[in-house]
Amino acid sequence: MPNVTVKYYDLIGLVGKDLSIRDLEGIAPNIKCEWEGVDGEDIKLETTHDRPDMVSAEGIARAIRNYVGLPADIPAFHKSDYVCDVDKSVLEERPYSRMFVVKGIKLTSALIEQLMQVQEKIHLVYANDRKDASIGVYDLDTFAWPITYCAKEEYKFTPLGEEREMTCREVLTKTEKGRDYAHLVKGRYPLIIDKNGRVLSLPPVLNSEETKVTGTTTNLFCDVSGWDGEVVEKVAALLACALSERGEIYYVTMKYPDHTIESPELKKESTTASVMAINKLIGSEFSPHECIGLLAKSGFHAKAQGDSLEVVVPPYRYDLMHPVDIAEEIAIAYGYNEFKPLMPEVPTIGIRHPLERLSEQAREALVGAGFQEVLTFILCSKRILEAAPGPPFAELENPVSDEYNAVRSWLVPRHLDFLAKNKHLPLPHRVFEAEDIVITDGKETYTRRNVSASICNSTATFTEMHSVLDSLMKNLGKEYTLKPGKHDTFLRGRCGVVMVNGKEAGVIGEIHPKVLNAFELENPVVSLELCLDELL
Amino acid sequence: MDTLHEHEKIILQALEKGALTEAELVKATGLQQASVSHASLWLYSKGLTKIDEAVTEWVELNDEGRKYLKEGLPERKALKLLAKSDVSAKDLGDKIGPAESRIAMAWLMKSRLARVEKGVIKLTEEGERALNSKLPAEEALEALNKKVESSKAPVGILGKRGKIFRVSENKVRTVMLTDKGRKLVDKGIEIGNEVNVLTPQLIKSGKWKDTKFRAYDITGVAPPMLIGKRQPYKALLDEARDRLTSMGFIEMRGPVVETEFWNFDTLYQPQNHPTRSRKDTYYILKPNRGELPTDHTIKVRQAHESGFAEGSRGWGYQWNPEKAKELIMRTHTTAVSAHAMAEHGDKKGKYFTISRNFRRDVIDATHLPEFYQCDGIIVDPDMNFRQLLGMLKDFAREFAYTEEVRFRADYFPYTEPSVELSAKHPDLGWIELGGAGMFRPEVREPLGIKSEVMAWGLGFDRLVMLKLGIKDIRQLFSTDLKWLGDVSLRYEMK
Repeated sequence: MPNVTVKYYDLIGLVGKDLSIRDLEGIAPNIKCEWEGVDGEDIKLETTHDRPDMVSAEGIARAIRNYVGLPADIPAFHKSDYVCDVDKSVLEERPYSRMFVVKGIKLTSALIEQLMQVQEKIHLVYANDRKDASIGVYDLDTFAWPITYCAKEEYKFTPLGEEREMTCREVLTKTEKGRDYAHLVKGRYPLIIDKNGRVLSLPPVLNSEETKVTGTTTNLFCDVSGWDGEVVEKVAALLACALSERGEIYYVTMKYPDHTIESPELKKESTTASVMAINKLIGSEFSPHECIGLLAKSGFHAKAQGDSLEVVVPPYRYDLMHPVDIAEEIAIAYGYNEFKPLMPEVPTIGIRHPLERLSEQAREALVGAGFQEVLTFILCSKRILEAAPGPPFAELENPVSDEYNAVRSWLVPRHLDFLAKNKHLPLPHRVFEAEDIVITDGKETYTRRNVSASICNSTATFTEMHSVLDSLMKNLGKEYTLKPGKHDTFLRGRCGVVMVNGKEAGVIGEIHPKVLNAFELENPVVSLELCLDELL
Repeated sequence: MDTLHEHEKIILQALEKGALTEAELVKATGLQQASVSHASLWLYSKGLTKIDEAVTEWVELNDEGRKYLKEGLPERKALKLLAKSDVSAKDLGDKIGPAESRIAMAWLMKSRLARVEKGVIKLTEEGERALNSKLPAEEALEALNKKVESSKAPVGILGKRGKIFRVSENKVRTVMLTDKGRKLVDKGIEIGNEVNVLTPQLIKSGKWKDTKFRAYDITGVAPPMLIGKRQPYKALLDEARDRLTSMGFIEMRGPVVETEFWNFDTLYQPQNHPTRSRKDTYYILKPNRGELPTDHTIKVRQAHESGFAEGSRGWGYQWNPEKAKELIMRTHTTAVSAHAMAEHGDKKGKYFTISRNFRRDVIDATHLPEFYQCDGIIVDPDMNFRQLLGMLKDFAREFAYTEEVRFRADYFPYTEPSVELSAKHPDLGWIELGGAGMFRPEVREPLGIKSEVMAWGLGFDRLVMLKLGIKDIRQLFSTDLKWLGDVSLRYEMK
């Protein structure tokens, strides 16, 4: 979940009401924020993935204003003469874009921090690290209109933070940001160029040094471009709504080869919800009037007509898909902790899963036989699984380390590894485990429940484990036979396949000395492994 | 008296007339040296005897000294040569070696057995006499061939000849009765008709009636023994399973290698969701695709693309069945709940599972790549969010033993409303127990459920660590057999 940091005084300035830290902490749960604490002037909050409008002080301030009943609607945007020509060349390189202008801002360090935070969170959490969409912010008064969004084979400009002009190719190879995002520029270079041919930016990589925002900036130009049209449009709307808390928003007319739009486009959406359905889902008895009041606290204008609520969705909210989402807005505004919990009364009889029950019975028998239960990871290293060969196993495509790069197909290798880790302790060692394993035939994978027991002792023999197997099978009520087995992990002639109902249900035997050597075990080990699915 | 071993009684009796050394006790009792030593110590620990330990120092030739004894002292070698003829100092050195010749010359001159005239060594009269008698140093060597108590050892006569003897210590223990021991002996000691072991013969023959059984000293330390028992983490999860069963839940089970379909798509997580990436989730290399079910796939696809459930607009993207087929390590047990919904449909029911999940993470004191999670659902047309809160409160009482809970709004793609549960622990303060919510219509309706479904997922790791008193999460899967054997079964006692 996104972590957001806001300055206390900045937030209070944006809210426009004197609230204490304690007040803010109290409001946080009702605006779907987790209070993470205060560090100096910084308030740390955790917001949720469904609410990209909440990754900035501006969005949080608006939510607080809604909740405490202060005006919080998005002000109307202004018409303007700003024009951007979108050249068809860029439609193949980075096709979607939206732009707008913000005038009359007061540039503070807090605002700069918020601009950086919004860009970082939006890029990482919602825009596939600049592939789907990326944001650029510029000083409006450093370039000349109209501007062009186009793609070029090569061009020169001074990138942000550099002192000299570079070719686009140089920008991608010689600057840090260039190297980070070069993979997003496959063909020609997308560029925003002003009337005089000066570059504003090479999206999504770097802006130009000349158009950067400074301490004297009072008017901003913003662009959002990317490969996902829907995300570009949403991000532009979210950003414009957020910055409307700081200044006046002006449209930019974007002229595409075949159409023209006023950017940014704010959606005008409304939805309906049934008060009865809301109350049924929550278990509440809110009147339509109460519902309207609670929705207002969440920033929604609503009207009631009988049981039906007509709800206007604010332009910065993209997370509503179904009336249940309206119900949650009402529940959050009311406060989860204000509800009196009820006990669900569904009379049922509890039943253990047959395989879990059988596992428990096998475990009881083995504990009784003096074995210590152990718990090991299902993920395993290929090295261990190959050192004690067993059924074919599945490998991970993206392991983090060589210790966990495969899925165990039986328990014995894990237990040999376990015994090796304890070889400094006095013998005998008797361990067992009843847990899941995954086998594969190369086409499909199958999760199975195995039980395995091992004895490590200077005098450990087949016969000792044979007795364990025999009493275990008696106690689990299963007839079995042993037939001589050939198995790479066990000593030839001292290995048996456990047959139940004519099917192979497990294996028992003395571990082969070459396997013991591979695990650096110095005493004989005798092991038993059964598939409990076969014993049901 | 009854607790005395037979050997102890024999020794007490032998000491009746006075103190004896251990060696004397061996002679007097006919017991082995070791038995005498052991029994003397037992008696001492019971306060029946005193033990005086006298340390004596002994001197004896070492290998170098024995060599001298065998080959003769350097001065003897010189005397033998001089008996034949006078020799020069150089010749003497050539014959018996420079080192020995230096020692020989020093001693011959010091004892006036020889003199030097113009570079030639000649015997004196005393020297002539010494040819047929032993030198005092030779007598001393012979005496030291056996151990001699250091005060009587003639080491001075040998003078400075380097290390030719060694000194050793010998402890002599003298055992004597204490007053308590004396009283016991005066009462008379009975030896002979006590038995150590109760044998089958004694039992069957009835001879036990005439047998006196020696009492054991039962205050000693017991030899260690390994018992078999359940793994502590699993034992606590067993308890949770029993509680849930007793609350009327039916246990479910599902595969640990899962298709994205059941892990994500049925739960309405869009295919571009960040967790559905190689960064957060483990993918299987081979086979890398599983099968999609015939009966639910189309409906789940419709849910993603256009909502499926009445009133929903869905995510509005083009759903890719190939992505849904990818095989992964299950990331949450909510996938098991999805299977259960598909299997049981609209029938009223309560289900749970406590199973393993996987996340792509490095392993350290606070992160494990595998963890247990407890997931469950209640399917019922009349279920509502307040009942879910009541259920969660009940869980906090059952699993965290607290009435103090806190609910916080949270976000999961598959539930609405969604809630996070925290419980107040007396020592740790607020701890997060898990997330819950009412399954969205886009989740339950494609799986054939019109009823409401409440769903929850709880993590027990922190509670278990607290109960077991462990700080490092890796210890939940401890590989230390000693710790597993020693950890108390009564976890609540810490």
